Amino acid sequence: MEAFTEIQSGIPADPAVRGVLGDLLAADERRAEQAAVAGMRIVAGGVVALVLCLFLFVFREAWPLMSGQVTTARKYAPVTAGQFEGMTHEERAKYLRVEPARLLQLSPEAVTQLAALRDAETREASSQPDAGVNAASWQNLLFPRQWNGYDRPEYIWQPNSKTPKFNIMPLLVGSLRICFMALAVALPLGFAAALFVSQFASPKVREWVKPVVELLAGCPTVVIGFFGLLVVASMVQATFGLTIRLNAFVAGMCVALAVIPTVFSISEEALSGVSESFRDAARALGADEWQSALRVVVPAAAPGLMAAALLGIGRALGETMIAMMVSGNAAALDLSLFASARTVPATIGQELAETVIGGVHYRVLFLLGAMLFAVCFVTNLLGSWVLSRLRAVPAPMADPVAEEARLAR
Amino acid sequence: MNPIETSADLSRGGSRSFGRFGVPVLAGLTGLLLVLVAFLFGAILIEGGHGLRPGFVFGGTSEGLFDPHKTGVFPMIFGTSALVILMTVFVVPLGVITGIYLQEFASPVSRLAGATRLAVKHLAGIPSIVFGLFGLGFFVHFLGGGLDRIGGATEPVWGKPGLIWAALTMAVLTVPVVVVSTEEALRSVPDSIRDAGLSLGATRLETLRLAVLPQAAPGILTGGMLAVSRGAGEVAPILFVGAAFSAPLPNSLNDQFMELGYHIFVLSTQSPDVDRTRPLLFATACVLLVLTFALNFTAIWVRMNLRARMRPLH
Amino acid sequence: MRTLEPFADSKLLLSIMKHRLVWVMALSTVALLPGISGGATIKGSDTMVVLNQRFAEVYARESKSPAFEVTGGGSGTGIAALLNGMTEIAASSRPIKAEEAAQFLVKTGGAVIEIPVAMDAIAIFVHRTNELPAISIPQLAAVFAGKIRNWKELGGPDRPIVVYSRENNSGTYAFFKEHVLKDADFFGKAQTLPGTAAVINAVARDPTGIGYGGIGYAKGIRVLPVSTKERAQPVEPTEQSAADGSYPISRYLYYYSTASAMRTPQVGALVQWILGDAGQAVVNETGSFPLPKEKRISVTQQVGGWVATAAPAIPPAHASSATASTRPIPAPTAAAAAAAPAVAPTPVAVDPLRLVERESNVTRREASVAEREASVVGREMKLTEREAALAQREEEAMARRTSARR
Repeated sequence: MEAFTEIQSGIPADPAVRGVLGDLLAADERRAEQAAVAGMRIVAGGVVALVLCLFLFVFREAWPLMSGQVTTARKYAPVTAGQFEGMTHEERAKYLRVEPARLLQLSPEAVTQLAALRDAETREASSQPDAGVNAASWQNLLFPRQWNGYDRPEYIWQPNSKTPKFNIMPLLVGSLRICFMALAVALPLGFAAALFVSQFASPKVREWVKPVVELLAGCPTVVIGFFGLLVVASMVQATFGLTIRLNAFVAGMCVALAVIPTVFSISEEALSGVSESFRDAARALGADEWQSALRVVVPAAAPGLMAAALLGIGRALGETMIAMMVSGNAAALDLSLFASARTVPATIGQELAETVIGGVHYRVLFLLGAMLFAVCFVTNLLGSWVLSRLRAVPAPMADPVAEEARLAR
Repeated sequence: MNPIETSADLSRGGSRSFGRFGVPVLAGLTGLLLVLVAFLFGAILIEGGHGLRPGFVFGGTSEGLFDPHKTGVFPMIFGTSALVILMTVFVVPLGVITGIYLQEFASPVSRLAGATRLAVKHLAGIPSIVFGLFGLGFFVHFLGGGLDRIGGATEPVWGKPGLIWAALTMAVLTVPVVVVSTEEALRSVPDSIRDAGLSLGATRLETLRLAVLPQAAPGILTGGMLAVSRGAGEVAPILFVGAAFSAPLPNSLNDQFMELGYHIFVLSTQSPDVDRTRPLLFATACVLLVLTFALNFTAIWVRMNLRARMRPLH
Repeated sequence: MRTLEPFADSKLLLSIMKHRLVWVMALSTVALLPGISGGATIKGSDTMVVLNQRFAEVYARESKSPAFEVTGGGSGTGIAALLNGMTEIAASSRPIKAEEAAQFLVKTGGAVIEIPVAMDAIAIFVHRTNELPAISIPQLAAVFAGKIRNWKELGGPDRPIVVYSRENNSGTYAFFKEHVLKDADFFGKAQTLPGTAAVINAVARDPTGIGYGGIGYAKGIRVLPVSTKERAQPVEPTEQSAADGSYPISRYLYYYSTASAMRTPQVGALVQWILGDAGQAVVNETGSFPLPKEKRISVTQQVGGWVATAAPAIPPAHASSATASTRPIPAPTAAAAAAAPAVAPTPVAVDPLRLVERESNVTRREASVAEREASVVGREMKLTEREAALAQREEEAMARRTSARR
């Protein structure tokens, strides 16, 4: 046993020191080890490449729209058959909206049909008074506009229309409403449960509550959504006497169910991570359990609690299935909690499959996806920053007495 | 904020009396949370449990999708299993190797390790629908369409939604779960074991393979199971990358498949007579919940077993 | 040493697990052999998704072939998938738009093939307790565009109207917008639901609600008779009223496909089966209406032509977009239709390779015929243009003469 403890206390894993032993190893063993480590580096690099690929792909598809190169404006230029005959190849390709190379490959019959279809299409589109408006400009994406047929400027999202309208404000506001409602339920419940479990509960209670919340974390969101649609919506409608059954309130409550486990586990970790010595010090100064928890432990764990809230926000904003099933999906700018809402992820989920790859609608949905990506990226970064910078007291180093006490609990 | 300073206020009696209400309020809120969870699971398990008969779990949908007495969920269970197995084949090697690299071989100042940790953290925070975007645009259209163009196919073979693309999308989604579980499992193995191995003349790789990994295996397995449970439950990524309303059992990698979660979504929104289909809906949700619970319980049991094994070492 | 015990246990356990898992995984991945998938896909309309699923099921049973894969997502999704090359058949509850047909033409060089498979009436749903006797199209347009917001304006109680609509990738949505709203925008606060069934579910629970959707799903709610104008006679949606056009919002349900997909035995045979008695009986079962007799006969003939030849017929340009001057030139169907017999729905037991070979020979011959016809047509077109130009010049000359005389 003595020899073992001697070895245990001494030899570092540093290859430079181990070098003596290393020479004794067979050369190919070392090569195999180096190859294995290189392979691991490649795999890890692969993960980084994957995330970069994801980021680049989403932003690449949205870039033409972000840089203003995409337009929905159409002008009707009447072209008779005679004029069409007289056009050059490039002009014809431009009128038919085809690549000149592709135009060469089409049969004459196909070209005639295409000309007829383009003619009908531009005439149809141009009969709309707003045909010359670029619905995909940043102005029209973000600010209200008085479209033809409306008596005042409004924020309208109607991509399937003779004049498509792509204002994203109703979607952003809808997402924020549901996020706000979800956090209003999830933060109090999550924090309260975390505080109770980490500071006041007996070990037996802790053993019950933590697995139950972990089970909730494992529950698929589509099940929560279906439950909300069938059960919760009816209950809420009966309780409040609402006319609109599927609204932001119900959706918020269901999203809260999905967010609570995240908030709970991170804040519980933060609160438990506060060293025992803090509580002992507070007790020594005469505080009771409640005072020491509220006045000492919570402020010490504040960075963790803030990180929990930030991650909860990110999760609530990104929730798709519940919003698709329960929120009523009305794309109207409305600030009331009891009106229907449509969130950004639900819009992407419902409409992406019907877009033509490379079309305007496709690019707008990718723009929404890029914005979602950016917001979650920022909340993640903020959460890490909060945890690392605002930590008032450094994480307790290996405190053997405390660790043993915790393990024995 | 120095907590020791604020403690000076503690002698004031105000918060002492408030404490009498504080703790019961917290306990009440925790109880409310537990009641909500119990209500959610209880309602589904109880009402769904009525509809669970052997014919339902193992039957097919040849009699129609919406008849609660005649339809079955076996194609959905099969599809979900196929998806999850394929996903595991992709994600476990990737995630475990990355986790081992990050925990065992990377030096603290390595830029690659820092970038990988950052990448994994952000991957965990991305909403699942963005993975759906990526899956449709990159896997189905770019990779699949590219494969079709190279192969010269006239009809879509790989360039359409299918099992392989759905599995790849889910694998990308669950990489962080596996990486983090692997790291945690490796971290829980005490350094003394590694040092002992090295002192006995083993290389780092041998120590890893023979001494550390067997110890960490239960934790890594837990991670794998959590990934599987997440993969079985997420629907948003596969909405347009492979799940079908009705399809035969998938027997090639580019087939579409029926999936439990997607089917619940479809039943909630497409069934012609919702009151009649209600028991079917609950039963399907019950099956999905039972599956998820089984996976989670096994993961928890494995982790508890690990703790029991580790105790003598402390 | 005590510390070695856990090692021994885990190692043994690990080795056992490793072996079994490896086997299970290897077997399952080998079992899923990569290859050409057996079934084709039908993707699109949520209105038609139950119908498509029944088609796929019953056809698979009767023809003993692998079932089709059916997905919903809305008519727009189906057509986009067809355009993006991700499906063989797109199911749509609205006619294809000129823009989509043009994109199709550009992408594939051939026209899209349109096959009506069933008829449907868009019914207006209200709650069981709603006593409104009937509604007219102008009133419907006002309600769904948000101009009328209270039931009292329609003669009912003083309660706000809650409008339920479909998502904007839905063909039902597009059809309703074009034919009832006359292209005006939907009310912004209308709830958009993913599927007619969801609309019905919502209206069934909401006494102040109103919604629309395919007639096939109507259960548990009340269907309003619709009149074309305020004082006109309201008509209930039935098979008869949809067929003879007296119900103002009736429509065909379409399958769109490509020429090459139609020539594959699976897709061609499925479509011909659907147009046969067995298929139309399934249509009846699911609540939509079967095609009227004359339409069925003409469509069956057209389909027979497409299944056998290379030159797809051009779908007739639709009422909203076609005008006399831009009538597309009819394809050379005369030769093709004469050559194609009415093919029986059940496939003959022929060696499939031989069949494919024969078909490709036929296709090549027909392709050269079509080429010759196309050049003839092209020459004819130039001729008519020259005549038109000539006529124009004559007119101008006449006009000059008359103005000179004055």
